Amino acid sequence: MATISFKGLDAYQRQIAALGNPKTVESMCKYSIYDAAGMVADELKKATPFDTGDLRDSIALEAMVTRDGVTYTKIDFAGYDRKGVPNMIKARVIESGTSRVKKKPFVRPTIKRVTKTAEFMMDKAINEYLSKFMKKEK
Amino acid sequence: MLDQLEAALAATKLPFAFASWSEAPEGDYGVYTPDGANDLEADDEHAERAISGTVDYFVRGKGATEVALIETALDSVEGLAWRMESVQYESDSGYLHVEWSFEAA
Repeated sequence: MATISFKGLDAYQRQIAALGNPKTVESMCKYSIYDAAGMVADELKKATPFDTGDLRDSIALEAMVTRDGVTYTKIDFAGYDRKGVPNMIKARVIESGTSRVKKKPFVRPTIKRVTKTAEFMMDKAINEYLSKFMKKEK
Repeated sequence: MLDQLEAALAATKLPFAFASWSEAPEGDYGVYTPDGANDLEADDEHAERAISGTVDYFVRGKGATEVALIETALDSVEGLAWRMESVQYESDSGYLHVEWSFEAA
């Protein structure tokens, strides 16, 4: 009778169990978001209409949070420009226009343009993380 | 595709202009503006062409009737996906500014 044996199943089981740990999942998600979010913010800065540069310089990434099992960050137009106008309002006026200001969309087109690249970067980062994790947990 | 959108908006009898008005009307008015493409690329070709853009309407008042008319018009264009992007009240001009984004294949 033939006997087939598998080695390393215990280690594999440990790896899989460790992967199910919510802390591990959160850590993996944050790792995957980090570079992609940075790339999106950089692309948004490039697309931001330049006048004084205050609006472009106000673009910042908020700290990552995990809520209800979803990990995310936000790109913010933080603070005020040199005339005391909230950068968030200024960005909205440029993006959507008003009855007196012609719109010049830069957020929506940028997000649309870079979404696939961001997804690719996140996918790559998850694979990197998993590869390192599996080696460490052996 | 833009022709179909133009025809659907014209059917609402609301004042609309392409991209911008040379002189903005005194009353309520709208603008529709293409702002990009989102073509499906396959085998190094543009297999399906799609344009994206926005429709804006400036209305004094609640604008419920106008919004319903415009959304019905957007629904009537085959191959057009849309969503309401924002609603903003301009306290200085008194306009309610409603903005939709669309993508048409």
